[in-house]
Amino acid sequence: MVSIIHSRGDRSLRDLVNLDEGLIAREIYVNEAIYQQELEQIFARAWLFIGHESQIPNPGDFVISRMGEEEIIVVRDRKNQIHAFLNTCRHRGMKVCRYDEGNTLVFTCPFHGWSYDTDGRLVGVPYYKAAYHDELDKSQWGLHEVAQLSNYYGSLWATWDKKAPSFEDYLGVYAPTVRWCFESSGGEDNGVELFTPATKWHIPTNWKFPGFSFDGDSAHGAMTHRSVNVAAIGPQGELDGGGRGGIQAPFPKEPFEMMLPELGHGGHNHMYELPGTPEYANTWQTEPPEVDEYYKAQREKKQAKYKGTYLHAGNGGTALVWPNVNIQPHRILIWHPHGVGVTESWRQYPVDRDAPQVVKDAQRRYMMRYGGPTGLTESDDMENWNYAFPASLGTIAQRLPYNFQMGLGHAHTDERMEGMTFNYRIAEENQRARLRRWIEFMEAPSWDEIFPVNPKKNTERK
Amino acid sequence: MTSNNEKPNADDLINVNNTVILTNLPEGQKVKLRDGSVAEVTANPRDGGWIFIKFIESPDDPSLVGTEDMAFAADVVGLVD
Repeated sequence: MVSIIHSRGDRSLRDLVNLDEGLIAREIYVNEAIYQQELEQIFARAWLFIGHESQIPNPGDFVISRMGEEEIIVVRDRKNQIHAFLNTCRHRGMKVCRYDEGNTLVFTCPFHGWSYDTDGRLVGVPYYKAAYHDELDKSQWGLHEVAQLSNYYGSLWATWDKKAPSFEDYLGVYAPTVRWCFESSGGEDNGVELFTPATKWHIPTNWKFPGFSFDGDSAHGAMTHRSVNVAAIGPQGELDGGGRGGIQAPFPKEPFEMMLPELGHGGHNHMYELPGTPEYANTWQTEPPEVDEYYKAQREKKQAKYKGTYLHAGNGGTALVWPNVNIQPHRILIWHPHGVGVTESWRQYPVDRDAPQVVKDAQRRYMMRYGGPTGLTESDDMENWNYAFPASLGTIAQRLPYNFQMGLGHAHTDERMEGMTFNYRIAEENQRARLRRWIEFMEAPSWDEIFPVNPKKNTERK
Repeated sequence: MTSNNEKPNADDLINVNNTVILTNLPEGQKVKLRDGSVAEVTANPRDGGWIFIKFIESPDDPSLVGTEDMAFAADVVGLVD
């Protein structure tokens, strides 16, 4: 356990995050000591997204994932239970798995040969009788397992902290939104699978630039993504104005930033003003007609499921689950810290599990031109984050705070969505919510100080 | 390299120095262990370090016959049959 930084020189850590005035010191994005404390205070305690059960359908299947800077093995054991283990041998630390995914009977360390069952038990120790004299207690030297793992409608989440609240409690009133993200387009729970493999690449910026601005920074779109909108990369091509998203049928709704400042989650979401869901609008004109036929049929299923039900928050929107994963209808974005100035960016793309191949192929093509390291939209984003980081490193630059004042003082609640805080659809409320949770995690010695939260603080906030 | 479905050549299982090539041992292959035991391969993780075995003969400890265990590469000293 590292000691907690409560002050730096004559300034407290909290002074670097002035949420009342919307002024945030650049130091929290570029300082190595603060970054190291983030690994301990945030990534060693928070619930983190580690994958999806569709990646490991069979006993012995495994996939490599990450929690913070550290690699983990997500594996389905021979009894069909899912585990997550730190990818390091308990003997001398070597990685026990060097493949991104596969199927195995055991994980054997290539250094000295300690071997672990898929349930993490140490089952093979070379020279156990001759050299260890039968004295090594193998039961104490299994792979190090996460403290808690949650399979939430097919999505897998884990925390290293046994005192963390349950994952559903961690989500709070945002739980239905996250559940919604893992529905099929027809409204079937746990109805998606992920394209494999994940796309992974490094970007030269601090993890908070993408992590806190994705689903939190609506203002950048009109400037940053203007060129990609002109390029008409959406599935409808140049029809209907050629936006980068799909065509949406008219439906009375109001877009907001919605967030849970006490928990740090939030997104760009809609409040529908009628029960149910919109009609389907043909939107896949660049693909074979079977694609639209499929999605139209799925929409009818969803309309039947939610007939008479007011949907809020996640529908048509996006979600950030604190601290570093954004879940959108067709992509999951994970921002792994990889050094104070390096982020390992992962993309995983959900698609309806039972969709015909022609639909999956269409979805894959759309996402390839949209997201990831070669996608047109995220190339725009990366350019900003990758230059903002070095431009914030300098002595003079660090004297100047970032401005997070957009919409400050205009947050409000809405009785239709109790527990949520709202702001205008273009605001920096989501980012302030994340920074609020950030300082709480950074200062708190344990979960006792940061959970449960007091939801009334929402209404008290200016 | 052999797969589980192919019957390997003898040269694929042991080299000129009489070192057993663990990764290539198919299920059902009988092996001799350092303590004189004879065992049958029941599963092979193909990691080059370990095989899963069932004891067929165990002169030093006959109670092991019929039991299953893992055998480390250094303890697999030869092939039987």
